[in-house]
Formats: sequence, C-alpha cells, structure tokens
Amino acid sequence: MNPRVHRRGLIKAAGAIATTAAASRVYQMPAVLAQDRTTITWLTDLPGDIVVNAFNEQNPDVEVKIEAVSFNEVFQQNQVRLGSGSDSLDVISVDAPLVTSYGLRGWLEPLDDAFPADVRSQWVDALVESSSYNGQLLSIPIWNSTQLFYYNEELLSAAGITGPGPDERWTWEQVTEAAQAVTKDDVFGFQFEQFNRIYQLQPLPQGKGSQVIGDDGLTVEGIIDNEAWVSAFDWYQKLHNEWKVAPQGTIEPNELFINQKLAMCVRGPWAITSLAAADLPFSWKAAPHPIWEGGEIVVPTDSWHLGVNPNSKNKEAAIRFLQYAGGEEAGRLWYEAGDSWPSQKSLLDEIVNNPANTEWPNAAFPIAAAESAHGVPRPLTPGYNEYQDILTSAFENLRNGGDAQTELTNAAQRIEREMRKYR
Amino acid sequence: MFRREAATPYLFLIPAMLLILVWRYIPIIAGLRESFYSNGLSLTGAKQFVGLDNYRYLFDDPTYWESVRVTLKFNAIVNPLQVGCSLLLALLINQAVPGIRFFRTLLLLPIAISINVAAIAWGLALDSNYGVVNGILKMLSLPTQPFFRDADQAMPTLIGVVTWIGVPYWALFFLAGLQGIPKEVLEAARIDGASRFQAFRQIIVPLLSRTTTFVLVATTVANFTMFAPPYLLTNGGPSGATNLIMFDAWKRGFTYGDLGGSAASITLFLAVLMIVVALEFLITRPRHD
Amino acid sequence: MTDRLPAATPTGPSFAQRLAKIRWTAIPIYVALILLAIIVLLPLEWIMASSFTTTETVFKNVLPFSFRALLPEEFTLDAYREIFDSGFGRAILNTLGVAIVTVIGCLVVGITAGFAFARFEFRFKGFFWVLVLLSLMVPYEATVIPSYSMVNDIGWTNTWQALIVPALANGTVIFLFRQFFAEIPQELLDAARSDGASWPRAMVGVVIPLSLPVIVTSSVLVFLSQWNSFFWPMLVAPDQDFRMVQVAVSMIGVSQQTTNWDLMFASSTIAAVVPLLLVLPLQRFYISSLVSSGVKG
Repeated sequence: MNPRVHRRGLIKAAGAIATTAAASRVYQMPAVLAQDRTTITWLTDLPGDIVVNAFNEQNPDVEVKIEAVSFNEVFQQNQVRLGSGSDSLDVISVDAPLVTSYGLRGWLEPLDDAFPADVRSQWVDALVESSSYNGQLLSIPIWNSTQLFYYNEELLSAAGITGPGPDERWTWEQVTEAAQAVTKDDVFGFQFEQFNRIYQLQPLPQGKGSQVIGDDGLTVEGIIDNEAWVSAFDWYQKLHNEWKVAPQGTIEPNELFINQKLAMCVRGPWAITSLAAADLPFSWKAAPHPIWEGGEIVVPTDSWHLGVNPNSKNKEAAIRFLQYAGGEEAGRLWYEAGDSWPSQKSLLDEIVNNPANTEWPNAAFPIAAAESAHGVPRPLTPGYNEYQDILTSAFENLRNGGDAQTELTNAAQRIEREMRKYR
Repeated sequence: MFRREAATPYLFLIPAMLLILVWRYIPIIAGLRESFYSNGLSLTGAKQFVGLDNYRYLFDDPTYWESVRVTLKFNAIVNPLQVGCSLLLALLINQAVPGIRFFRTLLLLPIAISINVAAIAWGLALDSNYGVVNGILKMLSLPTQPFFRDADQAMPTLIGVVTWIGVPYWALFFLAGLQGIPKEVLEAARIDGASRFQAFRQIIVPLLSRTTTFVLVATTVANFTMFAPPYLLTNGGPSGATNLIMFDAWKRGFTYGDLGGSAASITLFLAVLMIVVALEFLITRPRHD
Repeated sequence: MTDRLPAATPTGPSFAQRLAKIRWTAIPIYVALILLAIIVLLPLEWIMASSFTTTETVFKNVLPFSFRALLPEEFTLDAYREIFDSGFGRAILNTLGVAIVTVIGCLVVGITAGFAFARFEFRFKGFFWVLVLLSLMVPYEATVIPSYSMVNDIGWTNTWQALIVPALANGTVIFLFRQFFAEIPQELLDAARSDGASWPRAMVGVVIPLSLPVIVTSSVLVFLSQWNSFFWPMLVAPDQDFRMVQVAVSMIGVSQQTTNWDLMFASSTIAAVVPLLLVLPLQRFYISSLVSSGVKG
C-alpha cells in the first residue's frame, strides 16, 4: 500500500465533498433559494474551499464561488479582467507587492471604513503596511509567510558537520562552508526554494543594510547596483558557478531535498507539514533564517491579500467575505489544514505557546513564528511586476555565470525604463 | 460555373465572411488603434491619443531590438531547416521497404502532441542537471550540456525542439505531394539512365513546387509567431537569447502593463510578416498556375 | 540468382535466395528510421513511463542515467486516479464537446464558402477571396489581446461561445474546400440542379457526399486544433467548468510551491494519446485527400 499521503488530493477531495454537501443543502432548502442568495466570485489559485464553505454555511444569504486557476493565471486574469473594468470578479486575490500597482490603476475598492484601526491591529504590522496605497487601505492580508532554514541531518553529519540548533542562526558564510563540504557527485549543498525570485533573495542585499528600491517607489539606479547588492549577488553567483554547491536548472529544490540530493534549503513553514507527512527515510531539522556575518536579520514575508473589485455589483457581500477571511477563525482553518502561515498576531502567539509544539517536527513551528517578527515586506511600487520580472532574468543570468555588476547595472537600466511610464 | 444566381453566392458567403471579419479583422484594427494610445498609468491617469509615441518608445528600447534580432536569426535558420528536414523525412518514409508503414506511423507521432506537452517533455528532458538527455550523455562519457541555461546554446536548443515538433507535420504535406507524383514519370527517368539524385532534382523538385511554397509559407508564419516555447520554457532568456518577438510583445502587455507598446510591436510585426510572406511567394512560385 | 540447392524444393525460395533478395541498399534507410524513431520517441516514452510512478521516483533514475528510467519501477495508477479526481475527466469531456461542435461549424462554413468561391462568379469575389487568404496569414497570437478584450466586453468569458465561435473563422478549411470544389466537373453540378433541386438539396445530395475526403481532412485538422489549443482557452475560459484539456494539463498538480510531476505526466500522456488514436488510423485517408486537394505539385 502506498503510504504517501496525498495531502493536496485530500484537501481537494474534502473540498469537493464539502462543496457538494453545501450545494445539496442549498438545493434542499427552497426557502433559502427564495431569499435570492447573492453570489460573488473569487478568482484564486489558493485552496480556499475550507474557508469558503465555512463562510457560505454561516451566511445563508451570500454564496462565494471560487474560480480556481493556476498561480500564473491569477495575475494574468486580474490584469485583463480588472483592466477592462469587468464585473465578473468580486473578490480579488492580490499578491501583497501588487497592491500598489493595482491601487494606482484603480482596481481596488477602498476599505478604510470596513476595517477600522482596531480591526487592523489583529494583523502583523508589516502586512498592514503593504495593504495600503496612498494612505488608503485597499486590501487585507489573509496569508502570511516566513522562511526557515531546513537541513538533512544525515548528509551533513556524513561530512562531519552538525547543523544549527533551533535557536542557532547560521551565517551565510557558515552555510557556504557546509555546502562545500557536502557537495559531491549529484548531491548539492544548498539552494533557495524560490531561487530566482526577489521575494526569496531580498534578505541578501537588505541584510547588508541596503534598500531594495528608492523612497519614491520608482528609482532603482544607484540602489540595486550598489556595493551591497553587488557583493551579495556575487556570492549568489559563486554558489552556482564557482563553488557549484547550488544546482542550476529548473528541477525544484523540494524535489531534490526529498530525494536526498540537496542538503540544505531555505523554505517556507509549509514545508514542515509536507515533510512530516512524506515519511522520509532521513531525519531533517529546521533553524532560523541565516544572516550575513555582522549583518541585519531580514526574513522574507507577506503573501496573499484580498481586495474588492470597484466595479463589482456586490461590494457589501464581498466585504463581508473579506472580514471573515481575514479573521482569526479563517486563519485557523487555513493554518490547521497546513496551507498557510497565519497573518493574525493572536494565532502566531498561540503557535509559540502551544505545548504540542515542543516535539519535532512541530517544534519547528515556534521557530517560524519567531521569524515572522523579522519580516520585511517586498518593495511597494506600482511597477512591481516589471521590477520582479527583470530581476528574475538578471538572477537567472547570474545562475548561469553572468557577472554581478554587469547584470545588476543592466537590470537597473531596464527597470528605470519601465518605471518611466509611472512618473 | 454558375453565373446567373445573384444572391446565392453571397448567402453562402455570409457565415464565413462575418466570422472572419469579426474575429480576425476587427481585432487587428483594434490592436492598431490601441497602438496609438497611451496606457493611462501615469499620474495624469487618462488614456490619451499619443500618435507615434509608442512606436518611438519601442525603437528606443534595446530589448525590443534584441527581440527583433533574435526572431530574425531564429527564422533564418529554422525555416529552411524545417522545410529541408520535412522533405527528407517525407522521402525517407516514402521508401518502399517492408515495415515502412510502421515507421511512418511512429515518426509522425509528434503531430498529435500539442506544443504544450512537447515543451514540458523537452524542457525536462533537456534539464541541465536532471534531464534524460544529459543522463544519456553522461552514460556515454560525454560532457553534459547546459542547453537552455546557456546564452549560446539556448537558441540552437530551441531550434532543435521546435524542429522536432514541426517536421513531422510538414512532412505529411510533402508525403502527400510525393505520392501525387505519378510513378510512370519516375520510372521513365530511371529507364533513361538518370541517377536517383538527378531524378530527384529534375523531376521531383519541380513537381513539388506548389507543396514547397505552401509548406514554406506556412512554416514561416508558424515560426515567426512562435510564442509557447519561450513562454513555457525560458521566459525569453538566458540574457534574452530566446526573446522572440511575440513573446516580447505579450510580456510588454501582460507583465509590464504596457498595452500600447505591445499593440505597436504586434502591428509592426504583422506588417513585416506580410512582406516576408509576399517575398516568399514571389520567389518560390515563378511561372506557376 | 544461382541456386545451389536441389531443384525440387516446394517450400519456396531457399535461404540463400531470400538473402540475395534483400535490398542491402535498404540498410541505411533502416538505420536512419531507427535513429529517428529513438529521437522522436525518447521524451514521450519517458513521460509515459514516469506517469506510472510516484513523484519521488520520477527523477531517481535520471541522473545517473539508467534504463530503468524508461520503465516504471513501482507501477502504480495513483497519478491517473488523482488527476481524474481533480477534474481531468471533465476537461476531456469539455474539449471533446467543443471540438465536435467546432468541427461541425467549420464544415458548414467551409463547405458553403468554399463552394461559393469555387463555383460562382460574382462581384467582389476576388476581394473576398483575398480577405480570406490574408486572414490565414494573421496568426491568432497577434490578435489575442484585442480579441480577449472583445470577449470580455460582450460578456463571453467562461462560456462555450468564446471557445467555439472564434475558432469557426477558419480560413484553412475554406481554402481546402475551395480547392476541391474547383476540380469538380460542372456537369455533375448541373445535373444535380437540373432536376429543379434547390440548393440545400443539391448540396446535401450531391456535393457533400462527393467531398468526403476533404471533410475527413478538415475534421481532423479542426479537431486537433481544438484539442491542442492552450493559450486562448487559458485566457477566456480557465474556470473548471469550461476548462480545456491542455489548460488542465498545465494546471493539475501545479501550485506556487511545487509541481506534482507524476500528475503532469499522467495528464500529458492522456492529452497526447487521444489525438494519436484519432489521427493515426485515419492517416492514410488524410494523406490521400491532401493529394487530391491541390496542395501537391
């Protein structure tokens, strides 16, 4: 019997069953049908069924319908539908750094009245920061993220190295050394999970004290090609080319880690559940996110927000859904299903204080909760898509052997060009 | 020929012409119009008529010119390559050897594979660390290749993959053409002492000219508008080595939100494509029809 | 060829005779065929084999490479079960439905227009024909963004119409029918009409049965084009109820963090097998009709 736990499959199946059950319940209650249930649409790639079903149950006069698409599709669909003023979406999934971009284009309904200050204080501060644009609250954070340092204990000890303890924060220099000792044949020492995204790599230059964008949210020249950036990404380039401890190519680091072909990896807290469930033939541990020797502690954060389409015909219903989805109950549902990292401070505190979280692998959760406090959100700029895309190209070039100064200077020029349209 | 039926031909044509006008021509005109307007993203907000500004912006953009160069280079190589290989493949599977029908079926398989699936398959097979191809190379003690990871190898790799996908499809047309050549003509030539090569050059090639024109034009259109492989596999990289023009235009519109620039790029592209196709027609169909 | 064996061998040619009959010049041909077959089949076989394993073992035998990569080690149908649980069956049905309706629509459009162009003289005929030919040159990728805006404006997102109607503007089918109809002897058509038959009668009774080869070819072309279409359906109808098969292939098992390769391989295998089952048996028919469509020399 295959012991592999199909977590996603189970969730989908559960969602399907629950949805069918909910739908059939609606069918059996003609009285409710007669009440003219408002239907609102939420376009997303997230496993939203759990929360949607709970909401639909508690709110007989509103039904949230999920339009499920893939990750890349969400951006594309948002762009085209919101851009054309369509009313086919009510609830919008906004990736945190795109709030500014959508806000500038008038794609998000202001929410200040629906979410007064005391409601907002339930969320982690960094997340509230990225929820607004131009002084208006345009979205609410439903998910959070943080990053941990995972390692394969056996691969490290075979090279005579002991990995960091749960309170120990390694430096990137230590990571490099360990990686070099471990890398041989087809086994690699270290890789970032999202190895070419600014989300994941932002701590590298920020840890050296640099900004990632100008104060106007548009300038990059003189910033992303400055000394801190160049030295940080020179290190990144060497990982892949000189020391060859990080794999190139597209095969995901999670795959490699599971197959014991990667010794160390920086990943989100979602890995804790999936690694534990995968029943792996080796032991692994998690530790805080590494920093530069003498550098600042910076950890990636922020994730998905929800907004309301200003052209929606059901704004009140949509706002009610947002209020639920951003609240503690929904946060708990998602967290317990192992899908997300909570954006609510109360839940994070709970994780730290939960007595069940003292044994491995659950002991990793409080580490993650503590790391959340060091989160620095992504830059707030209307040109985030362009910024991210051009940097991803630059990072890919670095992975393939490009020169850090050249690539970053080119990227800065290209980004400046694209930002011109916002000035 | 029916001449005296006044309304009938028009009636027969209405569905086709209506559909073509609405779904092919209106979008072209809409795109053309879009290319003359701003994006409405600046602080002033509104969408304005800006004349040729979008075009000027394109001409100043080194990434745009890079995509033009990449596209031209790609097509200059891949089109003759595909036409040539398709013809060769057709000749090969037209041979009367036992079991040829089995091989013919096998070698025409890629026709049924969508470009989507083909891109996934080859993307994985050519992965620089864990791809099947590199695995085999290693087994044969040959050095592994970076393929899509290297700025110099990416384009040839792309050409290889695109050729794998396209050649069987075009070969089918050539096969039809070859089978349309009456056997007697070829036999007569062989009896006259012509070598196989001479028979090929002087009989087959001229008789295939209409098919060749068709395949060349169709291949050109398909390859100039190539979009899926960069989208699925390389994101235009590395260092823009596979930044084909349709992909660049799409990125401009969807990722960078520059709809005007995207429309301008596509309009220019269509104009150039028309010219190239017209030239191909003129060159390969001299005194025919 | 000299035969050294006794003359009376009623069982057929001797081994030496048969050996001599082999065209040794055919050997390079076989070599070429086999090499090509390997190149063509390698990635496909790997994907198919990998679809019968689990995600963890997919990459196990690739580096260092062993031929075990081409044969599933722990044969399992889990991936297939899971994709059908995730709505892949629905995607297949959607695509079949859309494809069949599109085929019928394109045939109607193609036969009527092709016939008109081939057998009638009328004003502006040349002009309209040029319009059709030019439309063939314009690839749909070039018009995707404005087409999408149009679809959005008329409220056709996530509808069957959006998937079917634009695909009916198929100039290739019109072209094929026009070429075919141009070759029909006029007498046949006069005969059909002389009995006082109306146009619908003539078409159904005479013209359509005649054009069977082109109908088959066009149907296959249109079906394949709908089955393989990815970008347009992804834009206009990504919702699960309307999802087409290629879009489903790119979505099932794919999330922000990870790709379940075994699911993707399973769905790709099915996505590839269905058109194979359709096209290959009809291959001969298809070729012979291309021969007579005038695309040849």
